[in-house]
Amino acid sequence: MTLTDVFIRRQSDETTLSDDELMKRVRKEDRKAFRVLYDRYKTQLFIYCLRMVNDRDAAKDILQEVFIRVHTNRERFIPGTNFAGWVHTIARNLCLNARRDSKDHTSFDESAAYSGMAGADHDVALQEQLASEIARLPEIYREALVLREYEGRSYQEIVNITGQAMSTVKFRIFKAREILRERLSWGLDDLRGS
Amino acid sequence: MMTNDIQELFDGSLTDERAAELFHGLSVSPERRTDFQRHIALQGALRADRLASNLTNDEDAAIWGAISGVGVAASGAGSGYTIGWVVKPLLFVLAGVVGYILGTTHLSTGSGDSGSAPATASAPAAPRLPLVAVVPVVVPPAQQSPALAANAGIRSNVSRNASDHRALNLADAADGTASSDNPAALTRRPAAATAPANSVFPNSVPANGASANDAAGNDAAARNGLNGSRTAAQNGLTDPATNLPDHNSSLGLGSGVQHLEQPDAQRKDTSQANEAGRIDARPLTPEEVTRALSSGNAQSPLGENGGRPLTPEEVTRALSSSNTQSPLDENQGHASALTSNGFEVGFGHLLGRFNRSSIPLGSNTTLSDPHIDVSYRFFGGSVGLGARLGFGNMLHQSMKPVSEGSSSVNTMVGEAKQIGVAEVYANYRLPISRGIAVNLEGTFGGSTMHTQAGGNVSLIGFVADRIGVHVGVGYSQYRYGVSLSSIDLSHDGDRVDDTYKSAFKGDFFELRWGVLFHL
Repeated sequence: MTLTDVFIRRQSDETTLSDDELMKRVRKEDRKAFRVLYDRYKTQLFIYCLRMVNDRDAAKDILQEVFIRVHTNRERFIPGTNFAGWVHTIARNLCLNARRDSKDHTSFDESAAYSGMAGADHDVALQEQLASEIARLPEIYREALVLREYEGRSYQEIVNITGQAMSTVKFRIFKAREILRERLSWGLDDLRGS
Repeated sequence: MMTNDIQELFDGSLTDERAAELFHGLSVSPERRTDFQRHIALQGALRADRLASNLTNDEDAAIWGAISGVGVAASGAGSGYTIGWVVKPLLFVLAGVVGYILGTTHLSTGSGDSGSAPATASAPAAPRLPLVAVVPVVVPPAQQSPALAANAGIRSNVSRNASDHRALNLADAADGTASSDNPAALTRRPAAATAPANSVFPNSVPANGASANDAAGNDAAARNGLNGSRTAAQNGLTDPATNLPDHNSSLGLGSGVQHLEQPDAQRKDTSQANEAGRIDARPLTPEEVTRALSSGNAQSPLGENGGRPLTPEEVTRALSSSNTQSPLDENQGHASALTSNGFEVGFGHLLGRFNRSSIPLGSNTTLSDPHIDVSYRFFGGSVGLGARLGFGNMLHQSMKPVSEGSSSVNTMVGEAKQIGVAEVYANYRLPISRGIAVNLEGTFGGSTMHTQAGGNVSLIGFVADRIGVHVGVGYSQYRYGVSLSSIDLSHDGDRVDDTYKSAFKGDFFELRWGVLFHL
């Protein structure tokens, strides 16, 4: 058994716990549990923030602030409630604040965002345009789309996070997709043709 | 409705009936198929964008570092190990002290009558003894035995320069009645040469010199390996009628001056016996005497004075001279460096670590890690306390995030580093022979990344007066901790600052060698 195995096994003991159990441990000053929560939500929260604020650096700052607030307000979290919804609410509010404070909503760092796609089979131009169009979506549509497409959440989870009705969530996602499809028709046709 | 159905199809929420209608519509309408393909293309573009938007490892580490305040960093062993790592070195030192006591007790037992000083400890400065001491003993001719008197006539005709020997006096007893039938009167007495004739041979069996043993020269002779109690009879000259005249004749010895040669080998034997504090009273066999007499490997001082017997004053001067190197001391230098107090400096190498643990410490077990030592030796050189500075190849484990698809897991990553290692050590040397000792050592130390404690056993041999070499094996345990998460969260005036550590330990075997210099 290697050190990595030992560590992963120890880590897995924590990762199998639910959000509620982890938060209970965080309230008891269990830092490892806090780390597990961070690892569990960091990716989806970052993408959410990135698509919401259109700025990679700002998204990182928001992600950092989200977990600081989670830890600071750990006593306020009520076990049994929706931790994912709570943490997304924090992120959502921070993103809204960031967008409100931002003077330039088009400062998206596309080169950084797509740096990992160089040489891939995807159409880089289409990806850049996609990011730009997502940023232009109305706030309510963009949030639903990001939660659905980027975080892979179910409609019910989106309902829980956003607090909107199921029909509203479905409509917003439908509209977001339709807008993107229309605005990106040139690129999608090329992609379809290839 | 068509678009809504397609999206529901992608979401998996489209019923079978509506899915059938959708597929039928796609099959008959090129426009619907184009729209459907756009949906698929958009889904693909969104998926690709999702994958490309993940946090990089560096970004993740930076964010977590900002959250935790400290970040992922290695640290030394936690305070929880302090007690254990203090106790262990103390046990090593305690074991060394116990070993020292046991070792000294054992050596004292063998010291016999000579006193309590360990045999290998530095002996008091013994009077230097020349290679050859020829003591003329004046014996009245009337008291000379016929055989001795006959020897006197040929003494001057025999060269004594060719042999390397120590002159031992086979002389008459104090009463001057030495004769062939009185072998006990043939005494080996170089040291009491200045004493009056009647008491100069105190170890003569029939000697009337009760004061014989009080002669300083006797002690000196004993310390220098000259067996003052060895009489002619004990030397195997039990038949003076046959042995003594012959030997005396070969040496040209005469009436009160007889020479018994003792080769180097025998001198060493005698020296060792005296060092052990015992008087070797074993009589020499006639063959040994003959061999000794015929030995001629070194220049005899007899040649320097033309064969003239030394006067008692010369012998006394020789005995009292501190400038004359005794042949018996020729190997004392190696032993004295081993058994004397003082500073020692050393340079050594660890020839490799053989790690049996799943948690490696040495990244490259084939490299030789150098180190230097400085120590001070106490208790006759038996116990040493010192410090060691080395330069080692270490594999430092730290936690790094590793991406796996869209997510990342934290795992331990080894990072080879060359770092300095400092140790303190205590050791005990158990002499096993002249200039050679077994060294038992306990060490405790570490680096900025780890702590370690262990022990080693080595064999030390002094190849020169103050230069020694050692080679041995060692075993150590090491520990180090990794900060899995260190929280330093500050928000709205609240502050949480704590560190969570995870500790690891392992062990390794090592080979070591080095040289040392006794200052």
